[in-house]
Amino acid sequence: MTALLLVALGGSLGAILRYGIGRWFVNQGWRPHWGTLLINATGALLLGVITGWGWDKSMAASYPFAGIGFLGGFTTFSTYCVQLADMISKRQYADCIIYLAMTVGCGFLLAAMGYIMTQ
Amino acid sequence: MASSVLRIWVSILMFGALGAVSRYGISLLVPHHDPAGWPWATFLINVVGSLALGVTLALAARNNLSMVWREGVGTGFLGAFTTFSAYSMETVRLVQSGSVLLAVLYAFSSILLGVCAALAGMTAARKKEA
Repeated sequence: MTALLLVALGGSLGAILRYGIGRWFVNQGWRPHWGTLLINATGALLLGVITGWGWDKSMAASYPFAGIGFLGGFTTFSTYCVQLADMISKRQYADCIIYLAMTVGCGFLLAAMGYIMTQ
Repeated sequence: MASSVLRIWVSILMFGALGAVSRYGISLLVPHHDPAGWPWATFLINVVGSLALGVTLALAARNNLSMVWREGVGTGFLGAFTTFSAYSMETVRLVQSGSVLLAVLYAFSSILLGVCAALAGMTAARKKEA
């Protein structure tokens, strides 16, 4: 029950922070997918760091809150896929491939880096 | 104006909590203990969530859905339900446990199916309304 509440609280905070960063990127006149890239890359790095610390194996409250709730809710896969789909339907194939490669590259590299550094 | 901004924030906070809890619930129903195994929970969540976001955004554009619902369901619920951080970490774990082929398959099939699902959702929702 406590874990459920911690996931809910973390998810709320992650979602609202994602919305705030997204709005900020749009207000700067930048395309929203750069905001999503920053969010997903940062979230992957931080999940790598706390996994390296072993938070996912401990029974502590920190992982449901920070890992499953906050970082899970902060990063997003649906918006990423919809943005890619949008680029395809607008025939912006170069943008699509660049965005796809940068997200995947940054995500995996940073998650692995965070994990290896703190392990 | 200020109150409508506040309503959007409250909506994202509430729906975001619901999205994260739903993801957590599914991960309990479909446990993923072996880092060398296929991460079914995240895989299904991300593909279904991408389909649902495609539908939501297309319907919102057609029906002039209020921002409170559009941002609540799209940004809050589906944004928090699906996740990129777990997807990245699971792929790293697959590589680490020697399942490199599975890691590559997982990484790319999630995106391929997610993008196709989003496109299908957008198209279906547009057609239904047309």
